[in-house]
Amino acid sequence: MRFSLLLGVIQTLCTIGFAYWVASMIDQALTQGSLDHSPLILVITACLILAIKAVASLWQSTINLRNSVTIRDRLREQILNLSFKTGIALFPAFKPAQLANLLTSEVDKLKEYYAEFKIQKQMAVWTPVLILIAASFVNWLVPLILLLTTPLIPIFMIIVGNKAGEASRNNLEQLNRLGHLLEDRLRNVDLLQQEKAVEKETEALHVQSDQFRISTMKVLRLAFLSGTLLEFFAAISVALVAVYLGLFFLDKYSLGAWGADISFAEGAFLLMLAPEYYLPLRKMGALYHAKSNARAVAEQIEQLKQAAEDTHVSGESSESDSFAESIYIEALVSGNKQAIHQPVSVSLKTGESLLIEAPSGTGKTSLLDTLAGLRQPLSGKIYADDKPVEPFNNPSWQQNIGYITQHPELIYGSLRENLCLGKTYSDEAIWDALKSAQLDAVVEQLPQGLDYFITDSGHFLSGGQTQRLSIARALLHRPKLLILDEPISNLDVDTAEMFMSALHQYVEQGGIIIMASHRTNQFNFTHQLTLAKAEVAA
Amino acid sequence: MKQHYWSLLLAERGVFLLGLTLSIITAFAGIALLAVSGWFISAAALAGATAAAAHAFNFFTPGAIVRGLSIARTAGRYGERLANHEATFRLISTLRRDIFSRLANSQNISARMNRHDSASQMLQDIQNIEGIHLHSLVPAITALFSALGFILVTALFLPDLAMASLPFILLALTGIPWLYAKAVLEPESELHLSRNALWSRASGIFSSLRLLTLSQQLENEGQTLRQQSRQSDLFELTALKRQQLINLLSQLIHLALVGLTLYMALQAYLAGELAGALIFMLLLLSLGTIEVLAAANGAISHLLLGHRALSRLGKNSENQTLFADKRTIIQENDSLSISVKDLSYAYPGSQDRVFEQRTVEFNQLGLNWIAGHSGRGKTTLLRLITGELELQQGNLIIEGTSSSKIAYLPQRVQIIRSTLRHNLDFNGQRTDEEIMSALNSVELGNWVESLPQQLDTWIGPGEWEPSGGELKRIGLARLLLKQADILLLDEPFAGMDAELQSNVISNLRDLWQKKIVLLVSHDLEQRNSNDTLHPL
Repeated sequence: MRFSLLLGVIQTLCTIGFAYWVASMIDQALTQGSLDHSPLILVITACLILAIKAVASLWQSTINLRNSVTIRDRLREQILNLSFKTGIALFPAFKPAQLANLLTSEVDKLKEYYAEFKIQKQMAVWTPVLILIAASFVNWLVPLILLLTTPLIPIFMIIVGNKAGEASRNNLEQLNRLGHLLEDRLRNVDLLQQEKAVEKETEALHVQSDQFRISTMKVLRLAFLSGTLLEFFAAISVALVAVYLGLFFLDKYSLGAWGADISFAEGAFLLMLAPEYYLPLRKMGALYHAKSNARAVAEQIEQLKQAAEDTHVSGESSESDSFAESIYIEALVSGNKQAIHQPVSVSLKTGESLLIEAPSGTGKTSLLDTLAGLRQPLSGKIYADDKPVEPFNNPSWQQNIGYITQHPELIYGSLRENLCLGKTYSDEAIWDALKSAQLDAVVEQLPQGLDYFITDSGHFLSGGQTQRLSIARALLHRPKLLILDEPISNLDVDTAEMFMSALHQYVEQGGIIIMASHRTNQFNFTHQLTLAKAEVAA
Repeated sequence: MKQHYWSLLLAERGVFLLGLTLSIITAFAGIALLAVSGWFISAAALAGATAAAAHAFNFFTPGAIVRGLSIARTAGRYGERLANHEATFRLISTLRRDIFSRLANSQNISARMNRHDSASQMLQDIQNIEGIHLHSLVPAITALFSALGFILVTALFLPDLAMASLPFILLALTGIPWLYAKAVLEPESELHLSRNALWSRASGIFSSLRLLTLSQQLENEGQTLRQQSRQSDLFELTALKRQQLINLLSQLIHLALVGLTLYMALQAYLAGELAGALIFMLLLLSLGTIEVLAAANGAISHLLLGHRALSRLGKNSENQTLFADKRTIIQENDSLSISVKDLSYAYPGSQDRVFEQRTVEFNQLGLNWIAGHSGRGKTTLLRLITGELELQQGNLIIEGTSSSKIAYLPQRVQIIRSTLRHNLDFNGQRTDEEIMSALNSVELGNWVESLPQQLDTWIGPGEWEPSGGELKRIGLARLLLKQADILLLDEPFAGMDAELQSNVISNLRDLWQKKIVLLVSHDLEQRNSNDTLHPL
């Protein structure tokens, strides 16, 4: 940052030097009718000064752009660390797509803020000061003119800026909605086709885009006004300086010079500096949106930090927290800060299964998450083989857990990676698991078999097939405890039957099942409990 | 699509030309302000040197010109920005309508919008098209006119300079922007692609956070994500390096133009061919012109981006080939029925038939439950009856109603980002009472009352987001308002608990006594003795 500022100062010094050099050169030509040196050498020197300025300016922007890349990389890192630390407590406040947006497009919007805005903010102070100093060597009235017009700028900018900010806040919701309308309608185009509303929506889109134009222009009229004010002062000051100098030369008055007179060289020098005085301020004015982008991202990161702080990480985790035979859950209560279900107590041994029936809104998912060690319990204890354990954030507990949710989770990777999840299994074992999940025929038909790459659309696999994939995954890993959250609510009868028989197989081989569901007829659970809503304490 | 863009521009020519004229005037005023000031003080300094000439020189004229120019520049800048944005937004509102209406009728549009990469490409294209005017046409034309102005003025005072500066100006006006486009477009599009891949991976990680945490794979995946992020940073740095190199080149050309002007003006003055006051003026003129020229560096690359986007969208918006409706619909008959005879169906591009020679008859009013193993084509059958899929073999005879009276609830209920009312009644034909009674039938009455603006609450992404069960019920309410005779429901009760299911079904059963309702569900618990069951 300091070096970049130095390069900025060098640019301003070059501007001043160029103005001085050229002004004295022309002065010489005009007053003497000849030049002391060959014009070619003089001109080349002037060009060299400009070249230094160009190189300094490019160097400066390269540094800042590189910095902006580094800083954005660091921000991504920070977002990633915070969200990994927070884990599933991120939801439902954040959504996967929202976090992906934050990591990519949102952070990229900060490019201008770090690459240009921050340095321009400093240059807006340094350049005018240097120019004032340089100008005050030859004249006192011109720097005074420049100085006197300066305070007017922030005053008017603040007045106009506040108005513009107000207008954009008033319109923010509408602008946000109307700005995303086309995208939304395109994403849901099949719905509109089905509802025979395409034509109506097309017309509506036109009308709404027109409204968007009108409300955006309302904001822009004010936003541009602040830029215009800057232009106005810059133009006025140039005109003032020019008229002042012209009249001085015509001997209308002799005010402002240190000596008795102003030479042409001094006049030309001052005139060339006048527009440069306002240039950095004008540049900064054009970047006003960069700051609001930065603020929006900062707010989201702040939210993430808050979420991460709310997630307490337990320090101690002993290696012996795994279990072999049984688990005992004692008066366990889970939830987000506030208890939403009554305490749960149950004891399970290998080969046993628990069905949790839970009406909507009783927090069954947060209970299951707590059992998996993904959330901290509000109260209660869990014992494994009669020893108390602390499952939260505890890898040695978590490695014994399999978790199947209503919407099967897929990672961005090959089918094999999706099944193995970082562990190594032989192809034979993988195919066995696939066969048990009745997925082998489908995988055989995939273009690359086990190496088929699953993208975000996962379009080769249907909803039922992805759920088969998650059961194949569980059969492959054979976790000691399998937690299932409404695994079959989106499945057809056939897949559901296969699913349940695979579960039977798993239990018979010594697994423990905890499942939340309201469709149960295909399985005989050894234990059953109904989650009851907690009395909400005032 | 390309022709269309230009004809839209032509239609908005009023604002377009106004903006352009103001841009050019502003640029000229800015350059002239400097140049005239330079001439004024030079002339005044020279005149001041000889007292006799001082009286001959009317100082009021240039003073007034300077003031006039500064006002023209300020007002011009403001008007220019407003007019150009106005023109762009006018173009955008017509463009959005036309792009939407083209895309809405194009092939595979919903499939493309469901994939992040193709959707983001399409949205980026639309943005690029919308930017053609503001980022490409306006700066390019303004720079062209400023350059013309520079050449005309220099030709007036120093014809040699006009000739000599021509190649530099041509280079700055065409060569540099062309080079810029050549060098920067490729790494930038790679950057765009790799950021898309980053998005997909990140969204993959966050949507399987449970899985990754439990299998201790979160750190691994995070590492891959970091690597990928650094990879895309490299693309950005490449683009940046090239961009900076070309900027340097362009600045050197500009600098040469300034040097040339200064040198030739000095030489001409020393040779007695140029008035002394004009040296400084010509110098300031060239300094002002290069500022405008520099603004046009990115113009060609923006134009190329817009051009590519136009051709891609043109290709993407090729019309869907509509198939003929081969269903037999007999409206005259009094009793409702659907008969399926010898129906076979295979999805286009697939060899496997979803079903073969199937014959079913639905003639019982009320709820008809369709049960069956997966892969038996339950959803396919519904989509054939709605006419969404093309009939291949066999007959489908629908009696007692018209095709507009067949309504379908898909497994995935979609909503658009708009008011709840709009989402329930797309064509604005229902009264509030009708809408509320439909919502009450699906047990959403209390929910609506709890919304901040009831029926006028905006729902959808970024707005009030309904849960899975609420979404299904919004779909059901939407169906109720259509007052159809035949209703096809694909998994309508997923995401509702048992009590809610039974309430909703008993409400609907009353309303649907005189209709044929085909209900595909994995869960037959809510079936009662009056309903019909069709194993498929």
